[in-house]
Amino acid sequence: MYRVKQFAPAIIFALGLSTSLLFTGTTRVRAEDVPVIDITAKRFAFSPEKITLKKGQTVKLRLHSQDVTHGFFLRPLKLDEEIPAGQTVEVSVTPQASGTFTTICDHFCGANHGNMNMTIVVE
Amino acid sequence: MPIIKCVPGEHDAGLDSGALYREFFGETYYSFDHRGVHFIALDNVTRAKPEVGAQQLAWLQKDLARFPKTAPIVVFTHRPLFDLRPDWEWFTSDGDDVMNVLSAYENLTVLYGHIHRDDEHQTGPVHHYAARSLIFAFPDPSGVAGPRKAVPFDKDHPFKNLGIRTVSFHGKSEPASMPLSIQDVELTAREFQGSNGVHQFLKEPAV
Repeated sequence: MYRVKQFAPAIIFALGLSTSLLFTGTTRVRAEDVPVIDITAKRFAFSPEKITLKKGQTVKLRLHSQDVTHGFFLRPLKLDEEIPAGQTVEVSVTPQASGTFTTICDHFCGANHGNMNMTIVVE
Repeated sequence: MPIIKCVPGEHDAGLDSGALYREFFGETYYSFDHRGVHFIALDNVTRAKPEVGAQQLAWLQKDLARFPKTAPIVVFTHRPLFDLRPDWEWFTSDGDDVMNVLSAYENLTVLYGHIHRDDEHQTGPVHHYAARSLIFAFPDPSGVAGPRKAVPFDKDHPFKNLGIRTVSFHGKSEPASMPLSIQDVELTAREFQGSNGVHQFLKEPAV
């Protein structure tokens, strides 16, 4: 317990550092410098329908659901989020490969669920 | 009297965790033996996401434990248990865990739906087969980039690319007709081509 108390300030400092910095491979980016992209999910579409990211650049995706629970799934970018009904979730992503990818809602949300998708382009 | 067993798809059971389905058809996953073959129905739709889940996986392991590795086994499920086309939601997220259990059996076949087209696939000793849909078809995923779109509806050949529509029991001459009409096919095809045919139909019922 003594040791924990002794090192507590250092631990707290380290935690603070880790929350203000995002580690992306070998580079570190200040959280306030990370671009934020808002994406809205509403049966049966995402808005915007298409976003463009840069390879190697970290962005924060802020995902909102305006109605029921939706999914946000894109395996090549390791995105597999659940957006609870009426809520907002945030996820950081650093694309490592260029290409045009289809992101889908993978949480069944109604009759036209199968057509709910959007495009993410990585340049 | 034939006994009919069902397996839910996501449109049958994805919105209410299978509550209404269970009321009409019974459990969403189960097993039974028939003439020396063990049949298993797996549910990868009622958790809303394409997954089987830990509870069902544990049930599966327990269900299979009494069988030798050579037992003849048939598995029914809705979504493919392998990555056929994940960006079209043609996969099961914990399908590898399921296949790790199933692949221990030498004579096991998986029959699945969801993709509205023929498909054959093999993972280890296990063969997977999908059959055509009754209402509309999806294209060969290997030839299409981008989002999934149904094969365009052809009014002159409304049943093109679709599956069987009549079934004869025990070879008797009286076929049991499937209760789908050309109107059902056309409406469903319209919905999946973006013209909101089904929604308009529901709002404006025929007089």
